[in-house]
Amino acid sequence: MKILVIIKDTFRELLVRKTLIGFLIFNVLALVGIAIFVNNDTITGIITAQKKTMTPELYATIAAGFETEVMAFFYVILIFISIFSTASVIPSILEKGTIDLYLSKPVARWELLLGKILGSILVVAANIGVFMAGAWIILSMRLGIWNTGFIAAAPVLLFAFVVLYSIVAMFNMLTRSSAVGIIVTYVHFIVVSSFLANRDKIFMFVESKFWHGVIDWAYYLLPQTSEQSHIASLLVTHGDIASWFPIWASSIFAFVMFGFAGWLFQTRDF
Amino acid sequence: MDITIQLLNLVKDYRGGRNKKIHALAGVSLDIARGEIFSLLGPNGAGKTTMVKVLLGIAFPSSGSGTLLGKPLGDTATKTRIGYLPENHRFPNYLTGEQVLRYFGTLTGMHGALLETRIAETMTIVNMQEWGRMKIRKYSKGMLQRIGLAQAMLNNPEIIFLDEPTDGVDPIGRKEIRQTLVRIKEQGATIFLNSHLLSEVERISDRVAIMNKGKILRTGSVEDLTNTNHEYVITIEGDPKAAVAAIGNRATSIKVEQNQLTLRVDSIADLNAITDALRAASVNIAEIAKRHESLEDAFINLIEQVD
Repeated sequence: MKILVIIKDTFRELLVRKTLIGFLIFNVLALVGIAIFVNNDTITGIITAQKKTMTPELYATIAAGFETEVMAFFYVILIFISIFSTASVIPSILEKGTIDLYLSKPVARWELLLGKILGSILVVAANIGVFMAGAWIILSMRLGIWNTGFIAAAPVLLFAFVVLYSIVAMFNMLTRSSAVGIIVTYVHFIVVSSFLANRDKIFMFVESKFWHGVIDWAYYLLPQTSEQSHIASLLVTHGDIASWFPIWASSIFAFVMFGFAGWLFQTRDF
Repeated sequence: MDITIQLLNLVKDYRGGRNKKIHALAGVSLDIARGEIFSLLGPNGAGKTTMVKVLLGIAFPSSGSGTLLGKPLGDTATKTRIGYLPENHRFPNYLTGEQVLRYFGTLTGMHGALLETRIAETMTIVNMQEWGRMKIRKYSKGMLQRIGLAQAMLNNPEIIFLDEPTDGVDPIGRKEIRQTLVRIKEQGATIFLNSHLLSEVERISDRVAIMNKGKILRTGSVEDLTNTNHEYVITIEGDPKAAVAAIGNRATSIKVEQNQLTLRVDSIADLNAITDALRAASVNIAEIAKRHESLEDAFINLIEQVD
């Protein structure tokens, strides 16, 4: 009950901060952009030609490939703005004068933190849901194929956000600042994750076994955001997913990060 | 006596720079009875706010123990029975006054008609009924304090902790808040007040503790704290020189200001002997009064003695 009240307040907070409106504007612009793009003369010509010349199976494969490109492009943007817009939710309750009020109420500290985390996740889930559903409808109507794989990729996208948000939450709790959490998460998302995903290529240039070990450990311990994007792409194309390791290893990582943030919150003096 | 707050040798240390320990509370023991207005006085950094935070479970004690309404400090369920107005509180500024009360009331476990009734009642008590639907970002400091007080009273608490409740409030508002606190006390609640406005504390407190450097230096009623032992002020009519001559060496000290003699004596017997001597010397005595310090004087004297 109290968690629901805190979740509701998180929605209200993000609404007032114009985050929800920002999401809505982004969704509208992105969906209009997709609609214009798939309806331009070149794309229309290609689709018409391919429909005539290809077998239905081949056409479906190429259409799914096209949807994958759209999804991969917005995957990065959606995660980027989702992290940015929710990173201040936890620091806002840790401010002096606010946290005292919350902790004087009969609400367990874990309930308060969980309410704020769930509120942030639900706001992002709503945004991702609206975008993916809208994009799926536009693409399906234009391509003439209703590929459910595209919708199946949405939970993976949300999962990637949740894992990265666990880093934000931990740094929020450690530093009481949203900036540090955002920077660390972006560095991981844009630099470290891509670097580790290409570790086989990097090993060709690094001879030291020690550094091989370090990179391997980092790869297995840190969230595998690039691989999650790959899994989402495979879901869109109905490809075989060889390993779910990036999902469950990242789940453990997120669990540890949220757990550490919770422990810090539970034991800290305010 | 029904004890609502009990502290036993409570210690709270913070880590300062270079592993240096800061003793915010250095072994505080205290009992506060139900229905008291108890005020904590002390200079900045004395440990007053830390004490409230430890009592409410906002900070954890380093050692020692305590109870709040018979339950261990920080007990979550007990918090349904207390109210708190922190110093420099920050409510979510996107809410209206009523929404603030509704939100924090729900977190306290209130809901439905009871919550709505209490919102209306407390808004009226703090004179904010006209401003309940205004966003609090538009409130003045005084209005924020009033909403803060309404929030602290919302659940009809058995203990209400107020940290500088009249901060930023104009004199009329301060008077209203004082009257409200007395009314809450009359309903049986205990009030724990942190304030640096000594005149205010003096007017409403049943008991006062003076604190410095994490220690309670003295506890007692305002009367106890301001009472000066064996100091009297005698107001006379006529020549003070004649009066001083009549008193002779019966007083250990005499200070003369116009027609007022401030005397220190060793005993009541000496005071009686002095009045007899004055009467014998035909000095007219207009008034004899025991000298009281103001709470501010008592506070400053005590802090300076310890420093």
